[in-house]
Amino acid sequence: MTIRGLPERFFSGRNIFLLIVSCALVYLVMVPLGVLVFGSFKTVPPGAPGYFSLELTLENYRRAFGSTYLPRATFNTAVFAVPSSALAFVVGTYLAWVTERTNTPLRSLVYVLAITRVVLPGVLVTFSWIILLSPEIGIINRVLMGLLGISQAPFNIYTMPGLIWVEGIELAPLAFLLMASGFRSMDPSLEEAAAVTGSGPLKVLRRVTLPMMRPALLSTLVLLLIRGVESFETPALIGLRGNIFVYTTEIWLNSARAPTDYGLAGAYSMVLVVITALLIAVYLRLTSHGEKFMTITGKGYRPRLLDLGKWRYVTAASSLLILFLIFGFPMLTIVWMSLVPTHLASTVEAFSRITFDAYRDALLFPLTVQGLKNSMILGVSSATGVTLLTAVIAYIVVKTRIPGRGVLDFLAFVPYIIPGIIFGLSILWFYLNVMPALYGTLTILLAAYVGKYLPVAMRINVASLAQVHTDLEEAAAVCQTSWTKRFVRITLPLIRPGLVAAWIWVFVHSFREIPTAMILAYPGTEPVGIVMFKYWEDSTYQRLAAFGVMLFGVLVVTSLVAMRVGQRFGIRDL
Amino acid sequence: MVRRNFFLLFVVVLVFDQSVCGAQAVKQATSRTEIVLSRLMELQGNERIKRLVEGARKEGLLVFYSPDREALTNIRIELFKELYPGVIQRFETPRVRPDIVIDRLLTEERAGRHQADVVWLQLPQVPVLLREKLLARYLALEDSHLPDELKAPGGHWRSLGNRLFHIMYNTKLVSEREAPKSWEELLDPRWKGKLILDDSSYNWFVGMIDHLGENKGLEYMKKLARNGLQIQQGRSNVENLVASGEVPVMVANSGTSVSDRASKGEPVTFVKDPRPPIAYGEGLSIMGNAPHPHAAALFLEGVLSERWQRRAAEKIGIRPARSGIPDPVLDAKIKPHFVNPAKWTPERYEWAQREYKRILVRKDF
Repeated sequence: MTIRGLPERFFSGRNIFLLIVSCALVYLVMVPLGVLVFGSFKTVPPGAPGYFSLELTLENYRRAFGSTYLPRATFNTAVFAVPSSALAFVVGTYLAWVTERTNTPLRSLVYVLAITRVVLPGVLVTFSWIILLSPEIGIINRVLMGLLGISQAPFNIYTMPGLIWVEGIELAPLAFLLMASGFRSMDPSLEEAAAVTGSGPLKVLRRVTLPMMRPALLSTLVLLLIRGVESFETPALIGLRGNIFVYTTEIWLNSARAPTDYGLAGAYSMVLVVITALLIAVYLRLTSHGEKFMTITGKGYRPRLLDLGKWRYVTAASSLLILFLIFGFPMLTIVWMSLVPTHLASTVEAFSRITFDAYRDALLFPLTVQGLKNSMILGVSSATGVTLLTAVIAYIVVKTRIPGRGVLDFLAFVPYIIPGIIFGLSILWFYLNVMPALYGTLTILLAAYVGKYLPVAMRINVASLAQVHTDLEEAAAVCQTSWTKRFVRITLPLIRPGLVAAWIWVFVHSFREIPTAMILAYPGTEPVGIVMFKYWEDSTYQRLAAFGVMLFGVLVVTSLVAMRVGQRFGIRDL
Repeated sequence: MVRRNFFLLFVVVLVFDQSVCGAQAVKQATSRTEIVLSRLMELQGNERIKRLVEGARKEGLLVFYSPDREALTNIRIELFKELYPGVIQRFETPRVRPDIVIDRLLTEERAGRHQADVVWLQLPQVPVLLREKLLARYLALEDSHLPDELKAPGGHWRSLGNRLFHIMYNTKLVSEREAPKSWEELLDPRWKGKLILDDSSYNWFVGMIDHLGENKGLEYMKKLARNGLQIQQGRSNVENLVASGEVPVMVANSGTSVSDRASKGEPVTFVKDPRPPIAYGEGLSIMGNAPHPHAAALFLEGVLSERWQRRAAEKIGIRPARSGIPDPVLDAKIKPHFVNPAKWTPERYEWAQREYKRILVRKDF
């Protein structure tokens, strides 16, 4: 295995280290993937007699794809996933460009708010949109009907456009994060050269910046599309009321029972596995000539911001307006829901019932402090572990010619499309059999979280590494520097923006994780997601909203600290 | 390169499944619990209670899997402690969602990891666990005070908190006089588009089918669907939508949450006994490999006792299982219809779930 003709020994320290890390990835992913793939050909669940026999069957596939509802659901999925991904991409990319490539004022605030928005519980955000856009009680509808003197509500959340809107803005922070880390690493000399020829900022963005960003762009589109296809929460909470069934609600309607029909769920999910594999293959083919996208080189790399002149106030205003739509509206609604009884949230009477009792009750709830402590431990460890692991795996995928690196890329992505309940149950089953002492501990949760959050971190790091030219590493290799030192002292600092973004994403997401935690948590190890779920199940939305607001504050502070720490080892300040 | 990668992936999956996953054989559960319980069943009256108390004191712990909120579970335990103070020193009560409890129990048991002593189950969950032979047989001293429809045959489960199905409505949108008083009234065109139900009210569906008969029951459901019934995921979501005025009427609600909401000032109430009154049981089972069998059996004896049942009816507001105790919800003359556990196999419940989804969720008929 060489880097441009510089030979290394087959059993070098580097190769052994990479092999160990690859085995760690396989270990983390193969159990849930194995249960999914193998289980799709079995009609008994893991651990039941006959599960390990090689008597395979296509019965699950016959049941899954013999359903007469599937064609319609598949069509609806395409209609739902493509526009919502496109909306998220446009919004996220614009915000990322504004914050990372221009001198727009308040861009730090935009960055932090865009990312930490994801900590808000999905069910609460969706419910807040119902409070805003329900045809019966929606606040926005009532205001507009009063102002315009119309009798019919102008907006109806329970429609396909409503679904697309909610999902699109839910995905926008992901798009922002992926594109932001790519934008941050760009060398602006090409853009400046274009500007010298008289091209305006938008033309430069379209003709120079975005083509250079192809790896990050494709990574983002792949992730968004997959996320749109496998989205469940929004279609379940909003789509059911509008009789709109998509692929995931079909999976749920057909396979959700007690006990879980692993085989049927696996057969349905294999479609997502195949789609994922195809998209990864397309991605690899389109980014195969990686040197075209390497913008971080040894030639005096100095990222600089574009000076927009007076236009920076326009970009600031438009960014804040967009943020208000994707973040402000739901956040204000959630704050409002935390202060007033839920059933009065869309009425004028609520103003006379404002109270901070929900905050007091949330703080006094016995599980609150314990949940926060557990989540901090899980969040920091899983974020750090995932970031470092995917940095190495991304290095293998992007910078080496090791056979099978495409498989590693695929494996790192697979947890994204494994249903949460199958993921949790397979981890539970595996550790109960192999390492039962871990059952009921935080370690089993950590193992699940690290596996589950690989995909996004991997895509960020792959996109970041694709921008780093090999000449920097080669120069160090010529000076006889060990691979470890090159990786730690050169490569990692150059992809710092991606590392920090990945760390923050995993950290924030670990706080809102519910399905996996429900399976694996035990009294004493319950993370914050369980606490939020208990509020939801107990119908105490006011307390859930209060808890969500407080948690948001904690995570904003933590994210800012993480960004400052990252800057100490980086090459550019915000 | 793509073909090579896929081939490598296939090899990895195959090798992994056969070697790593197959490394540990499925452990067989022991029958120590069953042996202990069968010996206990040979004793009667105070002698059995005395043996249970001694054994429970030595074991010192009870692990109780429950789907309910902590406050409710804690009340159940506190009421038990009033009967047997200081006998069981510690209680672990992980809250496990009803849609996960079966998977969790099966996974734990198949791995030979016996965690739960007792588990709170709804009636539809019992046949599945019986089929997997996970529940212990125990004939309690107090079983004779329960009617047959509240017990699974063989002593594997008995109902302790009977849930009557109510019709919940928003008091700002529906007056008490207008509120539907029977299931049949819900089919009236004046309720068209004003009804909502959560996505998994299988107990009510089964109860109605059981009471009306299969043909009439399914026909009723189709009419209800044609009357604009809306389906929303999650019972708490549905209740919030009714309380906020989005939809006036929730078709079948069985929890105590309506009373809780009303006591907090939310504009909701319920028709507590729509005709015909339909109820379902939920209660306790001892696990076949309970690590603390004496504590488990003592807990069961406690919650079946007359004193516990009376205190639970007062404090929680649920209908008692034992006869002779004042019903806090219903007039004693009204006899609700219960689903007979013996008539509903796991396969029949699965059929009911499919029909629920086909008719009420998809409206495909």
